[in-house]
Amino acid sequence: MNFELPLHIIDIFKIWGVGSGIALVFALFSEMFLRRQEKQKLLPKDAIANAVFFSFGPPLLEAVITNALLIAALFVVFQLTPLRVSITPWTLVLYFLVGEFSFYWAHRLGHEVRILWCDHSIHHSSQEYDVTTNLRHTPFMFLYRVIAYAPAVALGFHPVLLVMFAINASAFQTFCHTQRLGRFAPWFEKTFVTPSNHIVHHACNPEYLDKNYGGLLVLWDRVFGTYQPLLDTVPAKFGITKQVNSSNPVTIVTHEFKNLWRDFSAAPTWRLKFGVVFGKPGKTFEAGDKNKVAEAINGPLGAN
Amino acid sequence: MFDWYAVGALILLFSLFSTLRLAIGERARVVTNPVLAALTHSAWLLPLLVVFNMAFGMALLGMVSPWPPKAFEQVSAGYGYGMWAGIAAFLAMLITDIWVLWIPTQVLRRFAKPENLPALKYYPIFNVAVGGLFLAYALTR
Repeated sequence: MNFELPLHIIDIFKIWGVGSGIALVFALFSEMFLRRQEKQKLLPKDAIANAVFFSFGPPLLEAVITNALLIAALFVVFQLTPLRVSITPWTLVLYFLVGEFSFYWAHRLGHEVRILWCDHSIHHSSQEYDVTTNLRHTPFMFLYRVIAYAPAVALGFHPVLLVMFAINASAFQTFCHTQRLGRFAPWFEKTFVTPSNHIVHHACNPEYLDKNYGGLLVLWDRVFGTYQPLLDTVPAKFGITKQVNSSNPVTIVTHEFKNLWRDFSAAPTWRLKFGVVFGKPGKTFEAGDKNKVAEAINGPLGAN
Repeated sequence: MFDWYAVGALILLFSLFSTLRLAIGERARVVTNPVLAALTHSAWLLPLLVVFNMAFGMALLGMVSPWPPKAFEQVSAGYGYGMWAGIAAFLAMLITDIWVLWIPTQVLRRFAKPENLPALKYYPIFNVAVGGLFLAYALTR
């Protein structure tokens, strides 16, 4: 089967990138203007750290290296499969839903596999929450995107289009990283990622942990039971369960990796070491936590 | 022959109605007439997730003018896509201009928490000025 990506898809990538990029600049200017009106610090330490991560992220690391590695890895799978899903106005809807599905699982892996969480926790480590939070990009996200997008590519979905959807979803979410907006119409809140349900995703309260992984839609959260609306009775506490308490980019990047290494080194058996690396954060062996050690060795406390 | 751009233009017409309702603000929040409510429902804004970024990107790259009548001419005759594509481009640019110049103000006003409202006093001026700068840049491309 002759299958080539139409060249104009690449042009669309560029046009969309410029449009959404300048919209992002507009949102950042707006945030700074409103901060000034509120007599708040124009650029708090966390926002500066976010800007540092963004400077190294999209224009350098992602544009030059990681997105190329992601697309190259997915193209290996694409070349190995005989299946192809053509790109037409009709199949774009399917592409969108599959792209959302893959985004959901990439995101969920980033939260629920500890070694991947070490990377993704960088994005979640800010205790502030505004449009600059979305600038806090992470260096290894392409790794879990490869894992989550490979099955769709194996089914014949074009890697470039799927990656494009992933980038678009992340760009759209910039406008959801704000506490300035309240709830939208109920039908909208139940269908799309909104500021209110993305606040839940960034909160570290037990009620909100590991919820709302969707990119543009909350469809797959609803299907897999991870949807959680913001509760009036539970104000969001931002950050991660073991707060970094620093705006130093090096500390932010290494924080969870250090914890991982500490637990990995202290784990007495290889089974526990494996669990530390690939288990769910908070549920694996933790050095110094006697309950966690006992739980990891003997199963949940109280269980026989 | 059936022209898909006509369908696109029709959808964008509803997006324009919905945008105008959002732009008018408080006075247009409650619409009792069911037909009018359907024609201006916020669901018509969904195509803008793609259309806004594309139209804004094209304007900033100098591919299509942000001035709607010129966008119509460029797309219909200049690029040769025909009348319906031109109308779709006209509507897309008109909607984009309204969004850049005014809608952030209205969205913030409508959905802001009460404690954030005082900060919005001068935001309309900021919105028109910064949005206007981006559009002026696009006009010069």
